[in-house]
Amino acid sequence: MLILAISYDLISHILLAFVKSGTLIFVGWIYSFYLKKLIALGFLLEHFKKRVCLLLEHNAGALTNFEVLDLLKSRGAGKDPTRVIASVSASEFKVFDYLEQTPACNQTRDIIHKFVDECKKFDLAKAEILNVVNMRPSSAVEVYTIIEECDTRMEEKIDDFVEMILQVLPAHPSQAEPNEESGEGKEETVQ
Amino acid sequence: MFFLSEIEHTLRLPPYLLNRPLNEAIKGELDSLFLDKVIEKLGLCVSVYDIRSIDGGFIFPGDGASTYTVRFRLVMFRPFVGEVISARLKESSKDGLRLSLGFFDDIYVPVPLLASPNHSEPDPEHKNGIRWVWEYEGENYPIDGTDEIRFRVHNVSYPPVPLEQGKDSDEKESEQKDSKPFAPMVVTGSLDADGLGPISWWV
Repeated sequence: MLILAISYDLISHILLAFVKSGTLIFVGWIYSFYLKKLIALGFLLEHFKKRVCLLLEHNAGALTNFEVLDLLKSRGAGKDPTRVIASVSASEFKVFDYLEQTPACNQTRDIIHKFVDECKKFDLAKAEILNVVNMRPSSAVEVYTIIEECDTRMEEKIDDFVEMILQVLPAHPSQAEPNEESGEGKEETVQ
Repeated sequence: MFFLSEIEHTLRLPPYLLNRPLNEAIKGELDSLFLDKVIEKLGLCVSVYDIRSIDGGFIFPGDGASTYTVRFRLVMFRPFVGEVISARLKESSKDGLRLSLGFFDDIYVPVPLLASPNHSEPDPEHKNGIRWVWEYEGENYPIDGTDEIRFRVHNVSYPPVPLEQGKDSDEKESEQKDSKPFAPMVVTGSLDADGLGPISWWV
């Protein structure tokens, strides 16, 4: 009787321990299941935080009109009369049309490098050089608007500057006729 | 006029684009997302210059599309103050001029920034139009739409997007629709210096 009682007690203890551990294991399993979900959710939230567009660099470089035109041409904007096949969208074509009318349509990289070199002796700001390359002023009046404090900085050099512009930067095709005669005259004197 | 801006964006690539090469698909998505849109303080996006890096490609649970973190550079149209740009006249009204660049139309020259002294007269060509005329040394120089107009950028502003007003009556909504569509980027120009205005005045 006593042995039975003890063994019964023992068995019940063992059973209880087993059940306890079982539930612990069960609870542990449920906990880990939800924990993984929580971790996954946390990761998602982290990723969603970055979902908004992140601005890395406000100004990674200024582009002249010529460079943008070159970019569009390299994608096939100029050669496509139908405007459907090239990988250029309609809004980009509008930019292309605008740029073709500016003096940028005749420029090349060499011309622009040469112009920037020549500008060093005039001590101009980068924005002013950019403006001049885009606009191609052909007279002193036009240069006054582009360059700040022209009178103090450039007093007599302004005519040299205008002449240098006319020599280095090609004119817009519509302006070519009146400039051709003066251009040829200057070529003769230079040679 | 044009600047490069580098941007990092988390892009969701829809599953129907999975058969295309990755670069093309991402470029197509970026084009549809950014082209011809104005980003505040960056300007109008003209074109995607290049794609620097593509990371990721994870597919999140419950979603069929893959998500990429893309770094790329955009060509932004962002005129700086003091820049001289040549544009065409779009319309002329009593408030001033409105100029257009073809791809960008919201350039306004208000009356105080027009070449002074000036006066306005009713336009003989357009009905209800006002034509502005500059008076200089006794001569009258009209501003009409025949040739390009050079202006200097005075200010670039990005007005905030108007919030929808749900409680207004239907009448007010129809009145709002008649008024000018919302312009996310407004460039204010000035014609008040030597060398500015129609090119025919100075050449």
